[in-house]
Amino acid sequence: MSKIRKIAILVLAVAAVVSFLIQRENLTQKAVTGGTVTVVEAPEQTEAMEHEAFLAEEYVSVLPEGENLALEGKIESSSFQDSYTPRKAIDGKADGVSYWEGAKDSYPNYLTVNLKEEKSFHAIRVCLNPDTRWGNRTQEFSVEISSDGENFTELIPSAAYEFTPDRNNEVILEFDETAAQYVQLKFTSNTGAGGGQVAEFEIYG
Amino acid sequence: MKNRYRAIVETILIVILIVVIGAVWITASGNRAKNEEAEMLNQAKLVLYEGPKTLRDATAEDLAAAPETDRDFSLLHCTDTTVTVNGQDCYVYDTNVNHSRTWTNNYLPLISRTPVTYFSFEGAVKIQVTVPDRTLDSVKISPVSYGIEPQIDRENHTVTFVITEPDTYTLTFDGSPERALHIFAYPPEENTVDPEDENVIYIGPGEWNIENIMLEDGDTLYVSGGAVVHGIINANYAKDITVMGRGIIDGSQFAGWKGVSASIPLKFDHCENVKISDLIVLNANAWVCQAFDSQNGVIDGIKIISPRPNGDGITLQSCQNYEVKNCFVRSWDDSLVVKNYDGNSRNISFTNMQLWTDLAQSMEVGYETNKGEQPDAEMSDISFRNITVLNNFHKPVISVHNADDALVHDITFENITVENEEIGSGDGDEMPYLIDINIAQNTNWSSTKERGQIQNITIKNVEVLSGREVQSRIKGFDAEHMVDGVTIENLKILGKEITDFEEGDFLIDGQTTQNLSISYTK
Repeated sequence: MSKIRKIAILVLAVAAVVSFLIQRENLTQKAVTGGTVTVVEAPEQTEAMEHEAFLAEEYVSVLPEGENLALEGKIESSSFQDSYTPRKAIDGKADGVSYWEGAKDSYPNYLTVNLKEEKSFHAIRVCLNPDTRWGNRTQEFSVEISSDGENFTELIPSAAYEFTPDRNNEVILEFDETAAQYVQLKFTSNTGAGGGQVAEFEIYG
Repeated sequence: MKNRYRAIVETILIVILIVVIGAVWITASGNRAKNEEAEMLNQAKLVLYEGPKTLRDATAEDLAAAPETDRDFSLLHCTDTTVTVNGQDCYVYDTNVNHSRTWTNNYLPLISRTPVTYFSFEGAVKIQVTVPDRTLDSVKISPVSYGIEPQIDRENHTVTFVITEPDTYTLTFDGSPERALHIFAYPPEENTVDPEDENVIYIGPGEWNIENIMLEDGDTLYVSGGAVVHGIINANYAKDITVMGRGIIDGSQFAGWKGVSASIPLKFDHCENVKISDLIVLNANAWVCQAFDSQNGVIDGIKIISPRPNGDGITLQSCQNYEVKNCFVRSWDDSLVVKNYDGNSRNISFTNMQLWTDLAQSMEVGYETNKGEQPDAEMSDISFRNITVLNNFHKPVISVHNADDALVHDITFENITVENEEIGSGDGDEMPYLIDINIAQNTNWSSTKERGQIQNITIKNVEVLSGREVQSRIKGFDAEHMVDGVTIENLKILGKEITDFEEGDFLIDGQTTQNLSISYTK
């Protein structure tokens, strides 16, 4: 029996040493230091600020001289998208959803104002909603005039015009005094929609 | 005698050795978990984001539920809930949420507030939340699937717990959804950017008024953690855009849209290859993240809390090839919704999402399935997988609604856990269903005269952990416009394994449905 006890003591002693060696890492609790901490610091500010990356140069819109003759005219278009009818382009309102939009993928889109009689004019202003939500877009269009509403001649050749809220989302075209009863915009592209868009089509005379 | 003495000594020695070995193992096993945790805590890489120094401290008056017109609606600095992460103070915001469960025609429901905080980490972090106004009779930490059991110190009003997985964690105190704490615990940022990089539009920490960030082809926008931007981000007819960073896009400065003027915080229409990641979007004046007529988009890891009417979370309208993953959406209208406003919706997946739906539906396909009145309209290959719904208080959790003439087919809902639902609350009683598959003609939502069809709906591994006993519905329109093919597998409601439609309390219109099956195979 003594021999068995001695063997047991030896085995247990070895087991105790091995246990200690195996578990020595866990016999004491490790301190928590919390690792590394990076703090992204806030700048010194006393109020919400404009951000320099988004500051636009100051722009003051100057309307052409004269009166907007289109307000007294009639208007029609070759097509329109959803509820964006041509009438909305001469209702004197450029905000909200008061704009004309040509039907998707139906270029060229024509937007034609009938001044009811031949009138003299010297500038056209085409604008979109100036709200910044509208963003930048480029529309390509020409200006045509007619005395009978059927036979048009080109007043201003087609060109690409940038509309940006930074400059009131407007394009002003000035030219020598011209007379016509019908004034027409012929759209061939728009980077911001499926058809031409105009919130107000203004003709100054 | 000598032998007997030796035997006693040897026996005592044996006992002592056994005790020593036992003590070593017991002590070690007791410490092992703590030491492993300590090891992870010691190796943690934690990034904290100071909040802007300009946000006002919330007062008791700010916390009152009121219409947005009757109190300051601003994003504020929270004062009744403090959070430390590994002993470091973590900035807590106080943002608006909506606990009302009834639509208000004047667009002015009562708006409440709730605390939100965020940080990034790797390893393990110990979070301590102090809420002096809470009795802490109970604390639930969602997702409950993590099995986190916090230490609760009621005397000091603290809740302490350790997390090892980056995710969103929500603490619900004393069984009430009011002033639940949302913790956005991000993984380390993989793609930080250099503020000086000319190819990146960089917005650093601080409070900024930027009414509209209009992005164009190839733009990368980075909104740093710690930034609060009062404004919106959008693009129109653009491609190859990246929006990233852990800043907050806040819409509290906009009045509610009231059906007229929506300022959508993330709006990408007619776009190609847009990736949006990580942003936190709060206080939108209407719905929050919209893509319309867009393709090949990724929305990854964004966090949304929307309190105002029509405050849908993520709405994909006539989009194809969209991947939405790892997001948190708490919304006062549909959390996730897919519609056809013009072209077809196809190949859209929502994966690994957490939802909290205060009003309307959690996962909705429809109702508008052909608002653009296009020929041969379809909505197909749309999936919702690995979704945890923390709360769904109003209408169905799972819904396919076809109110136009489209063919809606191959829609999958799989691995959905509903931690709590109170379906039918408020005016949700008009559609008090857990699952609703329905072809309808609806004065609010129908655009086409003809009705469509619904085919091949799969609902698999759905479990409701707590809530009301509610019905589900499968109903077509007529014999020509049917719901054809619904497979439900492994639906478990409040502990009950659902083996047939009757047991699941399904309302089924036999005249307008066919090829329906339900089974429990786990």
